[in-house]
Amino acid sequence: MILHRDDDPTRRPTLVETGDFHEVTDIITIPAETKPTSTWVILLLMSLSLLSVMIGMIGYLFWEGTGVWGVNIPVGWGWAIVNFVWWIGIGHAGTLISAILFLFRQRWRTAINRFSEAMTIFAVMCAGIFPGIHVGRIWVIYWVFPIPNSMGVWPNFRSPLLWDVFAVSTYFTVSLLFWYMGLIPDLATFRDRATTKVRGFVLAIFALGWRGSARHWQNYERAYLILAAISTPLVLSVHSIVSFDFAVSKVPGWHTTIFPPYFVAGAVFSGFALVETLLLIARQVFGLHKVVRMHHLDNMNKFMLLTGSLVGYAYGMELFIAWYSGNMYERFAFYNRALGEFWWSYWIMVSCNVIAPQLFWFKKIRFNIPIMFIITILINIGMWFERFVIVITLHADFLPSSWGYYRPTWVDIWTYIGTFGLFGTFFLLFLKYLPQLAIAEVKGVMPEASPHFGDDHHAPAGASAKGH
Amino acid sequence: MSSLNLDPKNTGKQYWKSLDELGEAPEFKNFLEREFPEGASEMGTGVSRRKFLQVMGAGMALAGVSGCKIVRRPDQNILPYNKMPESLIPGVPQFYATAMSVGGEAVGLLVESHEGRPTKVEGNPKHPSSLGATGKYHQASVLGLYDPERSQTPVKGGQSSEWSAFWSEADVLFAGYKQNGGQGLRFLSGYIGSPSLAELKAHVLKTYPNAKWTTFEAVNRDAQAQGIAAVTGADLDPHYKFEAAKRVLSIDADFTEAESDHLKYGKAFISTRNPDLGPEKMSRLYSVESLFSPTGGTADHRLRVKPGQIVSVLILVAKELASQGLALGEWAAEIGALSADAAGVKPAYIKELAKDLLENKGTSVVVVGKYQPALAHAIGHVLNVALGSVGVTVEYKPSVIKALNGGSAGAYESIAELASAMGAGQVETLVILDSNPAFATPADLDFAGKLSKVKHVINLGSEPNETSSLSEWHLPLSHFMEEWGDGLAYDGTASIAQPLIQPMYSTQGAAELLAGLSGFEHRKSHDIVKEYWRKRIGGVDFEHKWRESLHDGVIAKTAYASVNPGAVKDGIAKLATAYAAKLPKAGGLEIIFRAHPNLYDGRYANNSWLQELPDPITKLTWDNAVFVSPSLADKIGVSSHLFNKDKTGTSMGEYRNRPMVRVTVGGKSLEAVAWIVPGLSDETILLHFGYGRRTTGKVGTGTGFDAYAIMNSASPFLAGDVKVESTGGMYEVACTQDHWSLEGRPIVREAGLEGYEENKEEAFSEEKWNEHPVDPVTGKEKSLWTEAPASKGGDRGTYDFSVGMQWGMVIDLNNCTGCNTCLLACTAENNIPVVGKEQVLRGREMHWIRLDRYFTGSIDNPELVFQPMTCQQCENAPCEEVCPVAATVHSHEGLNDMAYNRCIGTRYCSNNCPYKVRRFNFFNYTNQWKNSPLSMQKNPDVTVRFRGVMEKCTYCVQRINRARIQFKNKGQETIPDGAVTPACAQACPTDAIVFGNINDASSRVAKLKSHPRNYGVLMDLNTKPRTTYLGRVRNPNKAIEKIQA
Amino acid sequence: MVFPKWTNKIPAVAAVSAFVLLNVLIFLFWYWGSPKHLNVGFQPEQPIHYSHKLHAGTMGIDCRYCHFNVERGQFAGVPPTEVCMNCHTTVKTNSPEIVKIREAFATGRPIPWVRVHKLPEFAYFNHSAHVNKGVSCVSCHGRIDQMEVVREDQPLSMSWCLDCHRNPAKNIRDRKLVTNLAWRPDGDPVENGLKFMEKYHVNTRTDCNTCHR
Repeated sequence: MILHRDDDPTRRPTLVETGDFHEVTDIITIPAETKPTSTWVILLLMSLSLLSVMIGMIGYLFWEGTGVWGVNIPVGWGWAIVNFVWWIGIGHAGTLISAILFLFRQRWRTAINRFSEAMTIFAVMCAGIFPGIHVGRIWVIYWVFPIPNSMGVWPNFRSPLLWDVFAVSTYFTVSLLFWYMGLIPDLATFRDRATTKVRGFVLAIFALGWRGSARHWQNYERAYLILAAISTPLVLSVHSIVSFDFAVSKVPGWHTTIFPPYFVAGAVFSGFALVETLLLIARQVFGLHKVVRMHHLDNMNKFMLLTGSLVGYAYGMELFIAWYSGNMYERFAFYNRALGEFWWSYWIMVSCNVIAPQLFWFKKIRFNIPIMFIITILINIGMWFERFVIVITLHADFLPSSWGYYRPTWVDIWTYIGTFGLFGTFFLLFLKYLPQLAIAEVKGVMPEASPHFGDDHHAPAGASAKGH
Repeated sequence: MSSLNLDPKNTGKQYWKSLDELGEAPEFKNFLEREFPEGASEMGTGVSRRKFLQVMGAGMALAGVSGCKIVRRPDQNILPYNKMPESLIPGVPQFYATAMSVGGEAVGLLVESHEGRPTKVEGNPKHPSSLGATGKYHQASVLGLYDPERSQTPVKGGQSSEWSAFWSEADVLFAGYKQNGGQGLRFLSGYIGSPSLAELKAHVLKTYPNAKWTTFEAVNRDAQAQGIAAVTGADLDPHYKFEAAKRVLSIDADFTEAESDHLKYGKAFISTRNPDLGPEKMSRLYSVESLFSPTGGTADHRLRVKPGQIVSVLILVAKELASQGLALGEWAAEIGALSADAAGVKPAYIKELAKDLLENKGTSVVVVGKYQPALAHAIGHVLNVALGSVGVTVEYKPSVIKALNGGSAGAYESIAELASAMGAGQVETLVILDSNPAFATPADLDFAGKLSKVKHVINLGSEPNETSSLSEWHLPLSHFMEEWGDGLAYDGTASIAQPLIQPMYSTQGAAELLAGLSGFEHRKSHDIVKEYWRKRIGGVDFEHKWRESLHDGVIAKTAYASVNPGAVKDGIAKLATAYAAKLPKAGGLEIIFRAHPNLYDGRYANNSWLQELPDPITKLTWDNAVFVSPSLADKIGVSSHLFNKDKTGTSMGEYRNRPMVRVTVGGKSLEAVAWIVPGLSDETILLHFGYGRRTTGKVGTGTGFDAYAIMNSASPFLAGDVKVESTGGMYEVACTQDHWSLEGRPIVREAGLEGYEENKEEAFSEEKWNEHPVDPVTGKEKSLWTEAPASKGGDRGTYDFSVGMQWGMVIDLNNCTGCNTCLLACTAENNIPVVGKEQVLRGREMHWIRLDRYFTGSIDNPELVFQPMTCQQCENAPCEEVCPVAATVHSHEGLNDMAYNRCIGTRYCSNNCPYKVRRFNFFNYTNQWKNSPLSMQKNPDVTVRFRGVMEKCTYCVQRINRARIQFKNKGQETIPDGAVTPACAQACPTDAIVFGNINDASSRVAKLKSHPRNYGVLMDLNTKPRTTYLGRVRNPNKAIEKIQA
Repeated sequence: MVFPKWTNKIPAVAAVSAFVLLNVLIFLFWYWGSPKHLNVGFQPEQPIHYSHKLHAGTMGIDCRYCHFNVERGQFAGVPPTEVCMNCHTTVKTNSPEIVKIREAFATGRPIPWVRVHKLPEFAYFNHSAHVNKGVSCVSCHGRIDQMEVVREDQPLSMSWCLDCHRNPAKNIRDRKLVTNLAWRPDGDPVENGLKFMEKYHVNTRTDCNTCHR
């Protein structure tokens, strides 16, 4: 990973391919100020209809009971938990890109961080739905919160599910704050460009009276840094804790110490994949070629190659340990994953998560937009199946007499599809009404941002005419 | 009317409120008004449990705060008794002795009654056929009582009517028969097991001399009767004394499950299976059969032969015995003359088998199954005589059935005779008592069709069925818990069946009907029975005797004395010719018909408990199937749909599509679903009759396939000339255990007697069966962490299991015959809902006990083991760690408590349960009891679970607590051993389940826990289960093992 | 300048007050939502104006005369109508309330008393288990002998049950005195209780299955 020294403009890669600050501001703000395009409206309507499907499904679930899903004994967790883990995983890239890359001074992140932060928030929202609705008696779910009550009973703090509750809610809160923090200066920009009173007023509220004074900037930078520092460990903690839901149990195939790191790697993997998928779309739709450049996509592909290989290693290691443990139940669990009733899901997982990303070794492919688009889609599918494979391990555990089979119902399927409606709706609204890219940060990485910009002994003659 | 609201309707209203508006049916309402004008509140607390979680759900938001700060709750009324029955203490159940007859044989029962509601059936230890145990049908009978689809009023031509209307017509009709002596009048009934009813029958036939009485049971013991009669010249029943038998040869006899007196036999046989008796005393069972019976599963050697060869094998054994020097007496010549074809059976096998029997002369016994032809029974008797078993391992007593029903013709002959008479229009009036000939007769008789030729069909039955729909009059029959009756046990012991409850609807007993028809004044069952017994046992102290008999459930000194069987020459020769005539020609495919293990001859089709009870061998529910052997499945090309990849079970993935086959027998054909049964003899099809009911309640209609359609009255249970081919069609079958193999896991542990003898400590130890490391110093399993220190500690702390009463259970795999009675007992005791076929298909059956069945050895001729699997009450319970709301936690006494009302239903506990014994209410299954008499069966001491709640076995904690309170009130701190028995253990016919306090060294369970055969399942997970198992020990014959190898 | 300067405080204030409000809500839910406030004092009108004050208080009839199953059964039991008739065939036969009872007795229709003390159906309380260990009626039912019309005196909530099950001493007394609602120990009730806990082997349990099955 190349670390760029900021002081020397000659050695700074051109992360933004535009003339000047003003143009950047336009690129990013104009979509929000003009009438919505018809494509956008259609997409929004589609998302909304999916969202209503999801709401309908959940309503039906509450009315009838958990039985409308495919879950049974022995497979007590089905698609609900699969989707939960998948969405949470998706939600990881956001914080990772914003926080960790920020701490590592990876300025190229500026093109994608706002996207991925937004994505994180919405993905976690989608994820958060499932643990809530998958309980049998939704109306007493508040019992998982430590609230004093006249029963004199407290939750069981030994239960990983309880840890989940705290981990996920913390992660959501911090991500939200982090995202909002970054938005403030840009909201202010929007506010200042507002033409109507109402728009100005609303934006003014959310801009929290940002004036862009040096003091504001100083506080902002510090706060941003602190939040980044806080959320970095969260990236690791959240999915580790989610993985405890499985790792802490006794189920063969779940009861493994490799889960936390392997879940985190997988999460980042899938997160990056979805970020790139969406970014490619947005780049096309809103013509962001000048700010989202091949250089960024290339870096992301490298990231996926790395994390994908990590995940692949984890799969291999699982198999090895299962064999090495000499434990007949473990051995069978993994034999059964690969060759049992659900062999197909296992091989979909392997081919999508391990084989597909290996293509990124080739520069040609890393720079080929259609192919990388397909690969990112494959990765998202593969990561969903990874969780499916894990959850479904339940179908054959210790006593052969108890073995069963799992198949989802139409309710399972539509609830899952519906969550895309939720995600899409929020994401589209974000694209339309909020700054898709961090204006301030993007400007920060432009040549013009350099204090020495235009110094004659560097720039060609006449360059000094520009800018200032 | 005063201000006190005593207006009936209104009281009724509030009354129902307290009953959850239970029972909308007017009939049911009146019944309640009559039966329970008081005691409603107690019922209320029992029945309204269903609501509890809804209340909980509403949480604090009850109603809404009114002016004062307290919430105005919806009023619930308490309706006190008006005059209170003396013996009754609300909340404390009472037990009454009664008896239930199935197929003419009575089994004595004790019925638990809560404030007048019979809720649970237990066996009567004083009764010779029960000895405290019960069978499936007894456990399920209580559900039959509350079946909402029972016949409730007389029905004429589909229109509900009144008894008075019936009697006014009947009186005229039968006045006519008085004149002509009953010309054209016929009666049809099943086996009569009640002496008083038999007397009435005799009286009826006296009143109408020209009338005829036909007795028909699809499942009968005619062959046995004929066979024994042919060689003894008397109507005798064999009574086997397995407790004295060291070698048992079972010729297709499922004597622990399906034969007469099987409860007693099971107990007796199992008492000889304890390996600690040593090689000298432990019995050895040889089983010769085509199908796989549970008894066959317990056998040490199971010989798998085609149905047509079974008799041949017996003949060969007889001849072999003769050649080894056993004197067959009068019959030597006849048997010598018999021809036998048992191709595929190794002669050496027969030799060794005979040798073994002969070596144990006097303590060996030959048992012949009721489905075997008369010839087999005759030979069996001859061998028992020759082996000197008579008086030792088998004795003979007069046949109860014959004594009460008389007649020499077999059931199928009689019914055929009746059918032809009907066909010929010679029958004007047919009175059918509690049987269903329109369904339960072979199709070749076309009984249903011929019914239309009968002018008046009067059918007394408990449910609307195929026959009632073709009858002029359908009269509702009382349940045995509703009327007085009597019955004889297999050994002749008489019992009075006293009612537990007033008839719920306007029903009558068979005796009451007959009394009316035979021109008596209408008498109540009570008088009929009591008068009869006054005549029988009369005497000055009759009242005393009567009350004593009611209390004990048996009438003292009524058992038959055993008699010495006579010897009739050339009985066998006759039978042989008859047999040869019916024997299917060798080589071809053969089909055997058997009564369904749960539905019997079809009479229990509308009993949802029995419908959802898995078939003991195949674990099918809600259907019967065409059972084929693996090789036959290959041959007819259906195996690919059934086997899973590596042939270790039936495919789980494709459970929705099972292949249909067309079975054609003698021109008649039936399309039914095929199912593979390992161990079924090749070239054999097994089909159970009793399923495929056309007219019955919602539960039974449309389940399974009607085997009667291809049965033939000439040879009902065995037929050759069978064709079977795949139709290409598919059908859904709900099977609760798809997997056969143990996958080489140390879950069920078996040993041969010799191996066990050599090293008892080794045979079942963890070291031998597990890789689980054992600390050489402490000898304990190594644990990765030091156990949490025991403390008297807090509500959820860890407890000191070395003090106080610590509950534990031991299940002896040697004793379990897989009869399923424990499942039903548990269902009845713990308010377990039935979920229906669709839910079972999804793997959501609710039985707290899973009776695991594994096949070991080769897939074609495997051995069979059963393992009742239920909550193991682990001391390190994996479920407890993971519940986010602490709904399942441990108790001081080592129970793994499940607080239903705390459960939010994450199902995490079930996922983490290595034994997968937790059950989840995916839907609001208990809705089925709402506004239904079914709710009256529910046990008020057990919470009814709402949807979204996990449930599981609790060791019947309600019984533990009842006992605790009872003894504490007496000032006793500890509960003595045996004072608490879980429902499963109490019902078990073979005492396979032992429960008690493991801290009390003198308790049965503690002794067993220290037995070398004792082991825990999945001990290497360090779950420390409180339920452990005693390893299975077989007692094989070394010589025969060599031959087989 | 869209907003005046003072509005700068709003975000901070909002954040803090939201936090406070949440806790206040929880507190209200817990405090005012508990049976202690929802149930205690429930005093429905009964179909017959029967006065415990008169019978149990003034005339001092022992509780067990009417509630005769309290030492033997799970339920103390609302007395059968015939129990009333034991006396009222001769006593005050023509008072309007008694006429109702006679009527009920004659017609055989039960008197629809309104339930006052009601535990949820999934909680199993056994009267005999408590009375026989020297827990007085007064501990749960209050001074019934002073009530004209019966009212709920205690919350009967789970935590309330647990309080006593965790340290029962102050509610344990001599078995002979359980129905003496007026009785108070001379000395320290705990001391007195401990004495009888010893005597009656009182070891209360807090396992789930103690009350839930």
